[in-house]
Amino acid sequence: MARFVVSGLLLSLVVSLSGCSGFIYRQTGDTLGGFAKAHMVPWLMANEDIGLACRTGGAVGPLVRSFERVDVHTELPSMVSWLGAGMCAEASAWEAELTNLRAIKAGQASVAKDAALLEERHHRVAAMRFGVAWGLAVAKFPGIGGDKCPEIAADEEVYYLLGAAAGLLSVLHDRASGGAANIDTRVLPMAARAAKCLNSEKWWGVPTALQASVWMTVPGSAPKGTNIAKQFSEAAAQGDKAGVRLARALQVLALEGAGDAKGMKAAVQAHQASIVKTPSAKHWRLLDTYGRTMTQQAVDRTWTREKGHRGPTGTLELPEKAPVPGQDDDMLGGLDGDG
Amino acid sequence: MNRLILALIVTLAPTLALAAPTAQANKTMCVFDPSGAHGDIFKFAKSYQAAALEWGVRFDLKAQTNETVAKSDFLAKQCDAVLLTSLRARSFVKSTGTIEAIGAVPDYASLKKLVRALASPKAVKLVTQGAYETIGVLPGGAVYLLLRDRKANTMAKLSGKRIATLIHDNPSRVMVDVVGASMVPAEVGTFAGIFNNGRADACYAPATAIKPLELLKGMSHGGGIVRFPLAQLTFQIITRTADMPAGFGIKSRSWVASQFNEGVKMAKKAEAAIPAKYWVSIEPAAKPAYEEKFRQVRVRLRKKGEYDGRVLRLMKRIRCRADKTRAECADNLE
Repeated sequence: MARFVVSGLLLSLVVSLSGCSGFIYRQTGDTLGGFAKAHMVPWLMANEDIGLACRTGGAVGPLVRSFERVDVHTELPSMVSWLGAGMCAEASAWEAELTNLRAIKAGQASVAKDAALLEERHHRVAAMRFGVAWGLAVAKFPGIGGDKCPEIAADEEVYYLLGAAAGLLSVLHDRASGGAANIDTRVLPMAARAAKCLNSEKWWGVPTALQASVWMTVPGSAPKGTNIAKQFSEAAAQGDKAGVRLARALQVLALEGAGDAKGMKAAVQAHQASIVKTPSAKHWRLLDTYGRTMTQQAVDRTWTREKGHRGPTGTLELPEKAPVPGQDDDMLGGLDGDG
Repeated sequence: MNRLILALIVTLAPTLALAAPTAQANKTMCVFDPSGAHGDIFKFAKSYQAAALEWGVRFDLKAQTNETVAKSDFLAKQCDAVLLTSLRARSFVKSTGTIEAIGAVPDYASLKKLVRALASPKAVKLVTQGAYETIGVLPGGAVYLLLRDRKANTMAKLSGKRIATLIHDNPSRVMVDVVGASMVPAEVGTFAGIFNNGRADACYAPATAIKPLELLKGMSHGGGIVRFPLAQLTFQIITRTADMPAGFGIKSRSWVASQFNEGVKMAKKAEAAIPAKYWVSIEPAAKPAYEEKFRQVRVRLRKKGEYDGRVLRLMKRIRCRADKTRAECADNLE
């Protein structure tokens, strides 16, 4: 009798396990997705190590997202993972860019060309990853980037903001890759409209800076009468005050892109001054560091173009203009004799 | 011992000479790109910068988002070369500025032929005007007519329509006049709004501008894009011949011409990405009317001194070599 009972129990267990493996996967997926959203993402956001975040994104993202196969919704943690993975490719593109500039400075045509091609390839990967992050934002927030704002839960606003940023980044990297990632350029105005749905001051001026970046990238896309420079300045000041200086970094890039050397220098100085004055916001160190990395890259580009190497470590500082030879020689008059 | 040293020097000298970097002259190039240093044109300029090292020049690139500023910086000799749209480049070298002549280049294959012809060493005189020389022509994409009402797809029906027209674009103003339409003055920064809001019935733009500026909105209620290039937008590099090493222009034009397919890639991609329903084909029977109007505009602008007759003739030869049956091939008006 006991043998029958045990056999019956085993049989029912096997049947239930094989029939319910989907249930177990879903349970696991819900737990993992929930954990990632509740703990992994906040932990990463509070950590300033960009390298760690980008590698974590690349490593954990596919695992989290694979639960979509058993109907588990993982859009939000997946989006952050793909953003992180995009940052890895972006960092590689930036390195190749500096190699290109060094080679130009050194007069090495083939090295410069090869580095430019390598840069394009990394931009393509970055565009694809940011593009996936944007796609996840579209899936999570249907209607994002449309004429009306979708409903956004208070605890999901930051994801919405990151989704809009991913949209902008995907197009910018695709353009830098020569269009190799085939990102739809309609994403640009969509990202600008998406950003408009958030309270810019609450989110460190980033929504306004995102819109302004799109308007700079697509001349003629700004609403009539918009003062883009003023919007950037106000947004950057909000970020400086909050200790999340992404808007400041976007302003630096915009001024650099427009060839405004003077304006760029002032923005870089403001970024550095703010870092000294205001510590990174405790829960958002990653984003603040990402902003600093963006400005650092713009600074390093200038250094490499002018001096052949990147700028100083630990501070955001553009190279000084070379002094005019002999400018202060008059001070040396009469000092030729013995001391 | 001395002989050994001498032998070593003789052996090593060619190697050392090879290892030494080629001396390059430092020059500055102002690059107009509406999107600045992050745009597609500036990206091309970076490729050009690497190539130019091999011809003995190291360019420092300066991005300009305002074309007027780029042009005036070049005039003030703050840059040794300048990359501009053909619209502005025409004031330096009229012949290459004529490439954008209305209706003169019907497709990219013809444009490629033209750019290659102008890159020939035999064309040096043609691409030089006084102190200035065009050292590169890069395609920027065909310019199309965008309509809010696709039924206005013949020359006759365009008469009386309002067309958003760039105010500094004289050839387009003449075209609007010849068609009998009225001009709605616009700038690069305003024409999209004017068209989308219905203050103009039509505007013109390359396909690359359509999605980022959301021009499909203006065509969403029965509008369309006339699949008949009005003109070919090009970007051109202008320099003062005397400021560059001897023979630089020939090498430069040849290299830029070799990048034609790369340059036209984005335009072709943008054209392919436009949903088929928006394209409006011109009936074969209606084409001659378009072509005749275009020719009238070209001849008028040549007489006014805007277009160079030599390049108009060259473009006609290209058109007629591709299609001998064209009506214009039998006469000699251009």
